[in-house]
This record gives sequence, C-alpha cells and structure tokens, in this order.
Amino acid sequence: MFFTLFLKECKEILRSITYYMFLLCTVLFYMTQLGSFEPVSEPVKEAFGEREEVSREEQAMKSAIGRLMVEFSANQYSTYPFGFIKEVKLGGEDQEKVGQIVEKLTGYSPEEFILIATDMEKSNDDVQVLRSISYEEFMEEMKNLDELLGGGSYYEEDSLLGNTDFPDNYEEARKEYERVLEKDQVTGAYGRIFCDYMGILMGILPVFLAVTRGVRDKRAKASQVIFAKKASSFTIQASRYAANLTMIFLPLLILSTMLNSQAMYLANVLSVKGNLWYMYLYLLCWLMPTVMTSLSVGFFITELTEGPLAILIQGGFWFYTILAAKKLTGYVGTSLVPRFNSVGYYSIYEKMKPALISNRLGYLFISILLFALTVLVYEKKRRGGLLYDRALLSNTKNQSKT
Amino acid sequence: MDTEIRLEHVSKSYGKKQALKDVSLQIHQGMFGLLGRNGAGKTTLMKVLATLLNASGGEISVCGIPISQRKKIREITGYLPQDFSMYGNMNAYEAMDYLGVLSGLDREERKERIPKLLEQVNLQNNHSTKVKAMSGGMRRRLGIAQAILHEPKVLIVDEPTAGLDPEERVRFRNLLCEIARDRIVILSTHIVGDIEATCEKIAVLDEGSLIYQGTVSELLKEAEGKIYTAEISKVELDELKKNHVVTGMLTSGTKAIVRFIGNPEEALRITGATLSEPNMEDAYLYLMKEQGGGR
Amino acid sequence: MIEHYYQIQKINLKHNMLPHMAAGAVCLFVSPLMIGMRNLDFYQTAKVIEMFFSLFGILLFVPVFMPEVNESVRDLIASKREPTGSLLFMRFLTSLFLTVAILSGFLLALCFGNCEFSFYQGFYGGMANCLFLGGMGMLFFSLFNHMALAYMMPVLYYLICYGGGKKYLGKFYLFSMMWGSFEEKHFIMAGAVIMVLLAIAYRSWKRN
Repeated sequence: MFFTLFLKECKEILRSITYYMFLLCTVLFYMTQLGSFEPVSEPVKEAFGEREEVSREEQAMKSAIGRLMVEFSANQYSTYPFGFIKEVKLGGEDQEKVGQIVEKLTGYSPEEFILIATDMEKSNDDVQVLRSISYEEFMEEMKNLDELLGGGSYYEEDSLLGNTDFPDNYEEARKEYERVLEKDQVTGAYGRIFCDYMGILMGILPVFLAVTRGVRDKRAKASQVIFAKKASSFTIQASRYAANLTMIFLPLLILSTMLNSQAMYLANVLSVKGNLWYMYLYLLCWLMPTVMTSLSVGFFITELTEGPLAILIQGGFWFYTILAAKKLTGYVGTSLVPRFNSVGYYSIYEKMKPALISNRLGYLFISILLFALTVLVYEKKRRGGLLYDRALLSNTKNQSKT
Repeated sequence: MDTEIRLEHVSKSYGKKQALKDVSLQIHQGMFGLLGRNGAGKTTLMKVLATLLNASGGEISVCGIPISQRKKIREITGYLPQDFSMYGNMNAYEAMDYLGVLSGLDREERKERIPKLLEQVNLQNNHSTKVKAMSGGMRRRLGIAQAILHEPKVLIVDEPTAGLDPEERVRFRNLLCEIARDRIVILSTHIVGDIEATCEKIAVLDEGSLIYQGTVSELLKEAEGKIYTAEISKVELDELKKNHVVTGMLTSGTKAIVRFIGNPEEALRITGATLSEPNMEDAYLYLMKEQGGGR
Repeated sequence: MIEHYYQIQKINLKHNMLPHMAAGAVCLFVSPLMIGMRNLDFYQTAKVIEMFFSLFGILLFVPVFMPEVNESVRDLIASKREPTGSLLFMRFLTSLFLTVAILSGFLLALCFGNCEFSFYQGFYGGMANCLFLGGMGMLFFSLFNHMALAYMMPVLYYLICYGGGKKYLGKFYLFSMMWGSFEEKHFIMAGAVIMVLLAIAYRSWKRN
C-alpha cells in the first residue's frame, strides 16, 4: 500500500504548480551560482607575499586590544549577532566585568586603560598583553567578553583571526592543493560547494511544498473521507513525506551529476582518479537533513494549524540561519545551512567535520521527531480529537462577511 | 459473523454541549434511516460509527467488532461525509483509484472493481471528468462509489440527498436500496420523503436523544386518528395555526385545504374537519410535537 | 456609506488580518533584539530597511485574497451587491495602511536611535519594497488561487536579490539603497503598483 500511495503522491506533485516553480528556481539558482565551473588550480607563487614576521595569534591579540581601547572607553560595542549591525552599551556591572578582563590581560586598571585610549599622544602599541597570558587564556577571556556582549562581536576567535583559515603563504597553499587532489580526489571539493549553494535554497523551498500538501485535503474537502479509510496515519503521512523528499532530490541529483561530471573531467585532467561517489555522499549526509528539516517543519505546523504559519516560522528560521553565518567558508554552529562557499580547502573541512557531523545528526533527529509529531497530530484529528471542524465552521461564516 | 450494529448508552459531548445523550440502538441488515432536525446529533452519531469521533461514553460494536478497533472497523465500513469532495484536479477514475489504495486494495482489485462501480453509479462515461468539473449529483454518486469500493458490510451515508434535484434524489435513493440488499446502509436525513421511500427501520433523534426507533408503519400507526383535513377560509387560517400543527396546505382563491394534527374534541369544533390517513410527514411531525423538545 | 466601509474594514481586520497582524507585531517587537537600530550610518540603515523591513510586505499583503481560497465563500462574495473589485481594494487599503503605520513607527525608532538617513527616502524605499514583494504575492495568489505559491514567489525574488541578483535584476534590484543608489526605487514602485492593480483586476474580472 505504501509504495502505490507513494507513487500516486509523486504523480500528484508532478501536477502541482508549486513544484514547477520549485524546479525553475532550483535550476536558475544553480545556473547563476554554479553555472560557470571554477576549477581547482595549482597555487601560483607570486600571488603570496613573504611569510609574515608576527604570528597570527599575536596579531589577533593585538588587534583585539586595539579595538577594545576604542569600544571600552566609549562603552559602545558593535556586534553582528544576526548579520545586521547592533550597537551594544553595557550596564555598569557588565562594563566592570569587562574592566576586570582588561586588567587581567594588560595589567592596567580600567581607569589607566581608558586614559591611554583617549590620550591622543599615545598609540595602541603602548598597551601590550601581559607576557604571562597565553593565547588560549586570552581567547578564553575574549569568549567571556563576547558572551557579555550577547554574541556576534568583534572578539569572537574566528573574527579576530580574520580569514586565517585560508592559507596565507605559498607552502601552505601548495599543501592545501595537494590535499584536495589526494583526499577529495577533486570531486569532493565540488560536493561541498554544491551543498553550500543548494543548502541556502533547501533551507526554505521545501516548506512551500509541504504547506501545499498540508492544506490540500482541507481545501478539497477530502480530509473526512480519507480519515475514514483503512490506511494507517503513518502510511498516509509517510507516503506524502517520502514523495516530497524524492521529488525534491530529483533535480538536485541531476544538477549535482552535471557538476560531478565536470569535476570528474577535471580530475582526469589533473591526472587524479576522481571519486564518483563523494558528490552523492555529500548530498545525502550534508544536504538531506536540511531538506528534511524544512519539510518536517512544513508538515508539522501545517497539520497543526492548517494555515501558512509554517512559512513564517521556517522563513524566520532560515533568515536567521543565513544572516547569522559568521563566515562563508567552514561555518557550522547550530546553523540549518552549514556554509562552505569555496572550492577546495580540505583542511578547513576537516576542522569543521566533527561539528558538522553532530549538527547534521541533530537536524536529522529534529526532522524525524517533527515528522513523528505530524503523524500523531494527524491520528488525533482522525479520531476527532482536535475540534477543528467546529472552529473552522464558525470561521467560514465570518469570513464570508469580509 | 453477525450483520448488526449495537449501540448501548452512547453519549458524546463537546465541552459542555451534549451532542448525544444515552443512545441505545440496534441496526440490522438493510436500509436504516436516521431522522431528525438539523443539529439533532445525526452527523455526530454517524461520525462516531465511522470512527472519526470518539464517543464519550457507552459501548458500540459493529458486526461484533468493538468500535475501539479502528482499523478493523474502517475495513468493513464505508463512509460518505455530508460534503464529500476529492482533489479537484483528479478525474473520477483517479479519485477512485487513490481512495482504493487507501482502503488497501491491490491493483487487480482496483482495476476490476472501479469501472464496475462507476457504471453502477452511472458515471461510466465520466471516467476522465475532473472532480472540480462535476455537478453536485455526480460528486455524490462518485462519493457512493468510493464508499463501497472496498465492499464494506456497513455503509454510512450522511445527508446524501441534500442539494440534489428531484430526479437525482430519486435515482440516488434507488441506488442506495440496491446497495442495501446485502449490507447495512445507515442514512441520515432531515428530509422525511427520503426515509419514507427507502427505509423500513428508522430512528428519530432530537437534541441528542433517541425519541423513536421502530418501523415506518409503526410510526404511522401512532399518528392514526390524529390527522385531520378541513377546508377553511384564509381568514381562519391564522387562528388554526395558533392552536394546531399544520402539516400541509393547499390554497385556492379565498379557500385553503389544510392538514393538521389534532385530537377529536378540538378538531370537530372546526367546521368540515374530517379524519384522514396519516402519511410519513404527518407522523414525523406528530412525533416531534409529542416528544420533541420545544422549538 | 462610510459606516458600511468601516464595517467591511472592521470585519476584515478582525477575521482575516488578525493572525497576520499578530505575526507582524511579534516580528516587529523582536527585531530590536536582533538588529541594532541606533547610531547606524546611511548604508547600515538602508540595509535594515531593505533587507529586513521589506519582508513585512509579504506578511501583510499576501493575505488580502485569503478569505476566498474557499470556492463557496468566493461565490458568495461575488454574489453580493458590493463589487468584488472594490471589496478587494478595500482590503488592500487596510494592509497598505497597516504597512504605512508600521513603517512609520519603524523609521521613527531609527530616527530616535540617531541613525543617519533621509526619512523620505527610507519611507519611499521601504514602501516600494514592501509593495513590490507583497504585490508579487498578490499577483500569484490572484492568478493561481494558491496560498503557498503566493508566499513562495516573493520569497524567491528576495532570495535572488540576496544571492547577488543585481546583475540579473537591474532596475528591479531590491537592495539598491544599501549600495547607495535610489533611482531603482521608482521602478520598483511602478512595478509594485502594476502588480497590485493587475492582481485585483484579474481577481474581480475572473469572477464576473
């Protein structure tokens, strides 16, 4: 029964205008963002300068202190918690705590620190981080500071280090390049960029398909008659869910195969044996939880409210997840759409891998949970548990007046 | 297995409102009519029998299966809701096919039964008519076809003739009678004519309580000797209406021929009143007058 | 007559717009928690208006046609004396008024937050974006009578703009002010007006 129903649902999706709009968008997005193939290429020596004298860590600490002088003395901190700038002014107690951090790191009392900061004659170099403070301790304090500021401040480690994830000299770049050839077998690198771009889209589009399916029974006045059938609530909902998931993956599979074939060709040119399966592995493990989550949110909220609320909720969540990404390459956190907006850089990927795995498993779990709740709500409605009919009846009457 | 539905002391309440009060009933093979005003609790009772609502109290068994075994009950019952419809973009055949799958029929069964059923409900030429393009009558017939697709022992039909034109109504009733030959068909309506033409056994619900169950002829018998006809002038009409329930009226010129419910002493005071044979409508109104809640 | 229109508006607000307004209010009151509204320079203010506030247009304008998703309701309304077109336009005006009110409040908050921007530009640009996205939703609602689609299309348009759509969208690029160009807003406003009118016209024509 499940499989027949699944096929019927797929067929129904193929008749819905929402799906064709979805297809159109996905293809357009792919063409504009990934249409021109960006090959991984050997680094060129001339593009990199000499190795820097000062280590990155030292530079990060220095720039943090410099910034702190300005922001602490004015008690005005710029943060970007959601991608938009937000000025933070700390209350007395919190500002004192920052003063303690300053004192611990530099040895200057907050008053002295401000004095130096506001003295035109003196420069940032007049304040140094104490020798006894290690980089790790420093960053620990910066973390506390960032928490005081509500997150998204300049003092987050990633932000202080700037784009340090990327190699800044020829030797490292060369190593990175070789890793792509060896570990990624070229094709893996394209799997990541595909998941990055398509993830943006898949964080939101599936919810529209889910809402379309969710309101359909009610709209067609078909819910009662379907309720009374023998099929279990799980079979009914699962067939709908699986059909949507499959139909969403269909264009993704085709587009990723296009990219994959280009990558395979490139691998051949670079005399590496490209791995055919990396692309699909990424698709399954990286992209699938994103799609499933937005589908599940759509299914659950729509089954519960029978309105467009799911669009707002998922839309808000998506908006947040996209704008709150601190960096475009190698960002995971709790984001629904982990970012990797670069081709290559296997070491960045390797670094984010543990976080990525737990993130993806987390969303997989959430989506399965939400789906289970959907089945529960549906079953409850089938037994007349939620008094929707009555509420809706009175609503229709009122709406006809408007 | 017995073909019988038993309800014992069934009640159902929505919050404070009691939709069903202590309903006990036995329904056997054939057509069974459930009569009552709008809002009397007919739809609630039907939904309870179709396992779409939980009863708040009492016991129900359908062909020996307790109602709590939803899946088994759904297997042997077909249900046609009051406002049946299907996805507008499906055609008659597709809609049947889809609902057939939900009833757990395999491909062969569906292929074999659907054309037959569509023919039985006179939709054989409408296999590819989209649901959204169907008239009310066609949609109802499709509804019946889908409800008996899995050959249920019990068919529950809620207000099946509402909104149909007279011809379609007659056709639809006949179709139900045909179907009722080898199963239980429960039909709810507030239109007395439907019941009179089709059902032998009936029950009458009023404000959630069962006020009558038995055969049509028994109900008629109860009203015997209570129905009068008289030819009166229109001027007298208002006066008559004040004191009696008028069940029928035919006016011509300044005169009116009225049927009304009355007892011998009262009725004889009206000039020209003669006793007359009750019809189903008279009997129903008599019952409602005697037993029903005020309105 | 005025009383009559007042009734239509009141019922629309109460039975149709209420949940959408509530959602809008929640979003509005949550926004200062996520987005700074103090001491922004011109470009930062434009970013807040264009990238954040524009989305209110989708929230407030798409529901204009929602009561008639149900076909019997639609027929019933079409049968009344009040022409469908004027009724839809009245509902549109409600949403327009709400948007004007919310945007004014939003801009005032930015003003008091000492942000650097011209009120006129902020208002015109914000309205243009809201109407454009909302009007697009209305148009698709009108054409296909499909709620999910009506929300989907403006969201997608926003997404294309976000994904570096300047190249493809030209004069209809939504985020021009944050790159310092105001000229586009006139095109967006014109496009918005056309879409809204088309949506209402098609919807009332289809029923007659």
